[in-house]
Amino acid sequence: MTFAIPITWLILALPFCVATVLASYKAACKRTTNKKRHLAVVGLNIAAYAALLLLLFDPQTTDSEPLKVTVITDQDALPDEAQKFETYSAPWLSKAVEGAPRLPSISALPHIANSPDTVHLLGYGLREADWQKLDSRLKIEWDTPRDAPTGIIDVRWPKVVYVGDTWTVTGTFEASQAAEESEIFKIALADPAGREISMQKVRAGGRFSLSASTPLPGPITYTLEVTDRESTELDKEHIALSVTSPVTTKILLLQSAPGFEARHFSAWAHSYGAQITALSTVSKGRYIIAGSTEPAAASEGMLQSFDFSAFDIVVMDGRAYSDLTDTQRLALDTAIVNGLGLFIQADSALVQQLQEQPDNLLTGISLVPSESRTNAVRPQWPTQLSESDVALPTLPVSAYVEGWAPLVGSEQKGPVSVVKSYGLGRIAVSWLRQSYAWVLAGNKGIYSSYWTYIAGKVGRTTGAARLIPHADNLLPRLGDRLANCGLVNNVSASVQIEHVGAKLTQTQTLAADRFSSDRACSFFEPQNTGWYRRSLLNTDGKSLDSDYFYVFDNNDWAANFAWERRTATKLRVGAQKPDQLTKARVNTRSLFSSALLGILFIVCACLLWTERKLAS
Amino acid sequence: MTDHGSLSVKIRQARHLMQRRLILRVGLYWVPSMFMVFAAARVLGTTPMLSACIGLAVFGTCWAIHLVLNRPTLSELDFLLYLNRTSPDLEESAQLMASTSAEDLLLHRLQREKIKPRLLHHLESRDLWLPALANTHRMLALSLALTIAAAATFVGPISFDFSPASDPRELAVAQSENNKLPTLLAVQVDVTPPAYTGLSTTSGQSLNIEALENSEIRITASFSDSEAKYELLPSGGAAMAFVAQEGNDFVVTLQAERTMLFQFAVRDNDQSQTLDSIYTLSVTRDKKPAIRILDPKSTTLEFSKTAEPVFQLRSQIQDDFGIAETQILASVAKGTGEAVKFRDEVFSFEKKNVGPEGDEYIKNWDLRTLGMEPGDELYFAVVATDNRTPEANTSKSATVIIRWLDEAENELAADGIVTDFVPEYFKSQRQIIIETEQLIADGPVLNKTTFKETSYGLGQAQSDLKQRYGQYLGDEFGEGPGEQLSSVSEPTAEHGNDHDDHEGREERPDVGHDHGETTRLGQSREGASELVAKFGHAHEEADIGPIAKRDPKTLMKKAVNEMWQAELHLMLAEPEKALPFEYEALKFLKLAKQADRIYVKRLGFEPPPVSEEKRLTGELKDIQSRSDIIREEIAPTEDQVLIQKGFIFLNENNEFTDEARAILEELSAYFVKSAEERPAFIAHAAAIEKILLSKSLTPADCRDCKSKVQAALWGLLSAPVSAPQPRRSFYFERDPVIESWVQP
Repeated sequence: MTFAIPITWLILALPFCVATVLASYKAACKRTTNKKRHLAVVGLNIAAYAALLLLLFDPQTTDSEPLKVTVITDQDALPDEAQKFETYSAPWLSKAVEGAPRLPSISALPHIANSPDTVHLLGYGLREADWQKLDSRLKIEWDTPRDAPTGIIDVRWPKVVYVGDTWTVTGTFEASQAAEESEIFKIALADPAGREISMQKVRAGGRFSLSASTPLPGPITYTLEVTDRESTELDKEHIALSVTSPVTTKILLLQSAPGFEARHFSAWAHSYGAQITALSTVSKGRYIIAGSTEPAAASEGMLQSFDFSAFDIVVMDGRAYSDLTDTQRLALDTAIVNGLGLFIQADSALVQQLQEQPDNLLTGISLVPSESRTNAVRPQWPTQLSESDVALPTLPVSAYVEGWAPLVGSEQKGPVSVVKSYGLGRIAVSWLRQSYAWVLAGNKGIYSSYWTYIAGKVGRTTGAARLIPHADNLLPRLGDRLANCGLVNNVSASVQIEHVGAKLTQTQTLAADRFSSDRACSFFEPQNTGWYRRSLLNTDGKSLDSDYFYVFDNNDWAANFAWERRTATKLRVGAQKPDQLTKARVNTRSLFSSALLGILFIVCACLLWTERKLAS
Repeated sequence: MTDHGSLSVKIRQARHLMQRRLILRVGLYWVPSMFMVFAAARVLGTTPMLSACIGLAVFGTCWAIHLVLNRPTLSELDFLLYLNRTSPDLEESAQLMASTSAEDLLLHRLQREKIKPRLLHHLESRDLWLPALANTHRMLALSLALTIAAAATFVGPISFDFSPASDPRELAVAQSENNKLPTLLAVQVDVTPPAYTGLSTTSGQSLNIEALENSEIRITASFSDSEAKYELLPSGGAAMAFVAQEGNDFVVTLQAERTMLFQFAVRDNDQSQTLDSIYTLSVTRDKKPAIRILDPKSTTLEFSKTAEPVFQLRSQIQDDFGIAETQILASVAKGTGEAVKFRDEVFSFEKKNVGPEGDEYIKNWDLRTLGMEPGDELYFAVVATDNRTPEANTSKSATVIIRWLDEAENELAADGIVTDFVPEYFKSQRQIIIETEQLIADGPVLNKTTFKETSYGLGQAQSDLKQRYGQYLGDEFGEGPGEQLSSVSEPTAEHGNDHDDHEGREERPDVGHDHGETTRLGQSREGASELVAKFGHAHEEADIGPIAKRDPKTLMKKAVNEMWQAELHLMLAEPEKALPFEYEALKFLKLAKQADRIYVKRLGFEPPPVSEEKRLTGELKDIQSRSDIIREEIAPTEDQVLIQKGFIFLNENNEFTDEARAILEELSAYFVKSAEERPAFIAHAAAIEKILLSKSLTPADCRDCKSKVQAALWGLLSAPVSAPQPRRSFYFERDPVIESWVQP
């Protein structure tokens, strides 16, 4: 116990108080003979002095018990042990637990709960973003839930894809504890019309990977459903995808002679939005030039002054590459270093050239003619949606590469095309031939998927300002602080965010990211669920890029949400070091309320004064 | 206590009793009000407890107010005077008890002493002077109020409809008076199918009508305004006027010629104003007869020179309503080479067996009776005509070839058959897939019978196709030349979809498990090893090779196996389950086609290498222009463009605007036109019309119309095709960090 004034003063004050009380008693005896009044006077004096002394000395106690709060993060019943501490409900709970008021946000916890030393978590814990808002020295007590979250967890899919692109959703399905170990579950991906387009069977805890391709731009919602053997629905969630049309790609096609491959390629690329220029050699220094729009008349020597840097990707056959002069090759080299993509369709001319004259651009690759009879393959590439049932011929060569990475593989022969980086650009060489056979066989989808993959891997990156999609594993929720970032190329830009249903619009100026001057971000906290459209605007208000994102309800992806929190909380608790935790505070508090003591003194004084007046 | 004192006490007690009684009477007067207030509160929707509290409060308030305003005060003198009224024995002297003895005159004292015992006696008989608590009227009112309150408790809250009429008819009239348009009150639809179908007339109240082609539809409707003129407006057709009948009824008759939408309209002078709803007429066409040749099982039947050229033709013919005529159109080819002569004849069946799945027609043939000799050939096809009127449907089966061989001709070689005939059947398997997908898409809007029948028909088609392939592979039902191929044992990897080892993978051909040729021609296995070879995994066999070495016959057998499964599910009206098997069958058919031709010789032309001296020295005079525009591929059809535009708009908009109206009108026209081929589309057209009528993308009477139309449009989109795209990155190349990192 401590005192505001040293206790020695009390020793000095006490005799004074006693003397005063005695004097008052004597004075009262003189005033009246009523013994009751005498006693009342003595009692009131003692009470008054006691109140005064307690006010002055203010005895206090110290308390070093840590200040603990409990936060309920999942809709569980309030256990008895938590009731002796202040208890709060996490902001994402749809209904606050009885006796536990809901926090407006986790960051408000230190303020509302008077800077607790210890946080006791009930449930799966907090998100990673929430942990970043709390002091790392906070002691965490966490009763790890026995049961893992049941449902689809660790789910991810690309949030923005192009029309026709193959996209993949992956995840894991965790079944309930009651499920048998050998039980098989079916995970199906359904399109917006409710038709199942992809399906996989897994066991509990098994990973799944389902792919699809979307034919239209816009905000598109797919459905992921998990059923058991009896077709009972166990989990159903929505996959929200923003599908956009790709920016125009500028393609230069150089062919040493007119051919079917180039014709089909030109037709496809032009029909689907690319700006293509095709030069076909018809004689020495003479070309037929075909373009998406009316091209300039071809002239002799035009290739000498050709500006390769105006294109995103150059596609040429091996003979056309061999026919390039040194000047042209140097121009090509410079363009590739600055970002151009080069795709060479190998042929016998290139094979011969590689053997005779090793090339600066094609260093590390050697194609040796081989006598292999089996020279037809079924190509495979990562974004392939369905297996190709048409085998394509390859150049009868054996490839020896060093410093190149596989671009397109095959089941039988290994890679059939390779790619390497060269400066900012990339160079690819392919000995797969006659890809137009897919078109002739009616497999337009595979043909376009193949060439889209090639262009996406080899071509130049676009330099246009654009929005950066949200992370594959991000599932925005109400109240989340979402970063909307764009690559803005050193110009001022803003992002306009509009809720599609409610037509609520907000415009935010992007602030440069401290790590990169090209990247700028703003933060947005959605207040409604549903689709939002965001547009990147320049200073004139013109839209440079746009896409959609979906804000989920707190009940959506519940298992994934719980899993994320569990993982983040495990990390946080595991990283706790006892010597770095906040020490428990020492709390001191007065034993008596000063207000009450003051009132007591005043009352006693008033009564004494009244007695005095009555006596007179 | 003195006598006078006790009497005073008794008088005082009696007076108090009297006062209380008067107060109670006041209260009881207000009790019925409590019950009435309770009943009123219940009727208005409050809970019983709350109603009781309100009633008590009102009662208490009224009682208190009454007492305050009219307090039944009663002094002793007034009480005694009142007692005088109640008993003549008191001789009007009861009030003497109020005065004290000292002031009274002798007469007063004497009179007081005289009536004292009478007064005491009278006071003890309360019935004589104490007023009753409730009189008859009060009790009646109380009983009535109690009854009403009890009734209100049982009935519960009543929702009040303040509209002028609660009768639907009157309500319709009231609505029409507000909207100034008549409303439809009642309707009856009588559908009379064509006479040839033998079906009777059906009646119903639904205006979304399903009828057979050429049925007569009679709609009898009653409207709120019996004086107006009404007409039926079909989509894409002329208006048809209703004919007024006796009473309020109006009748219109129409023929079910095409699937369409229709509305009712009221004609006012020259103007026609449509009434609210859109209705659909879905017309089911009379299908052509379906002919299956059961025997002979193959399309080509051969007799050797010495064999007896007799066979039986069994054909199963079924139609939805009846077969009018069957014929066998035959051609006999005699001779060979340039001397061949053809003779056409028409035959009839000899016998007919009626069966649940269709009638079986039988004819026995003897080639000798046709004047045929070894070396001649007979071609025949079965033609069936149904009983449809006015124009019958006719179907013709595939042509069956009967060859009476002259010499020991070589039977058809097995090799090459697979690739030779395969192309014509690819289309058939693809067509089955297309029609199955259509059936699945139309499933929600088709009725159960039509759905099952269509599925069964597809199952039949799948069965026919399976048999055609099977006959060349020597299946159990094949007796044709392909039988010599059947010595290849069944592939041992046919474990269907339930094989535990393959769980978690998609249903793909078992590349590494191709055990089709575990037994070759000429090899023999005995006993258990044969069973193992047939049904088990024989990994020691060396025939497991890469995909390029698949046996086309094995792949064909796998295709036939998949067709079995597809047929099974189609016959069970489960097209969703059949579709994956159909796709697998098509895949195996394509693989079989490719298996022998992995080196694609037919595609492209590989010119011989050109010598560098001759290269680029050709004449250019035939090149008319050295600049050209790249032509687009076949552009998407207008329908596809509309479907895409419609889906994108509905997906991104929730408001009904002029743009929405324009797009929806186009879509409606598209669906109405397409409903000719696919009657299920009429439902989508109706949904769009409801949206247009209500001027809201989510009409109150059809909240899911928009999503249904969106789903239908999505199902009609063509397969996605990707476009050339730039390389994705989340940095600019000109970023100094990136530039310094990627310097070669």
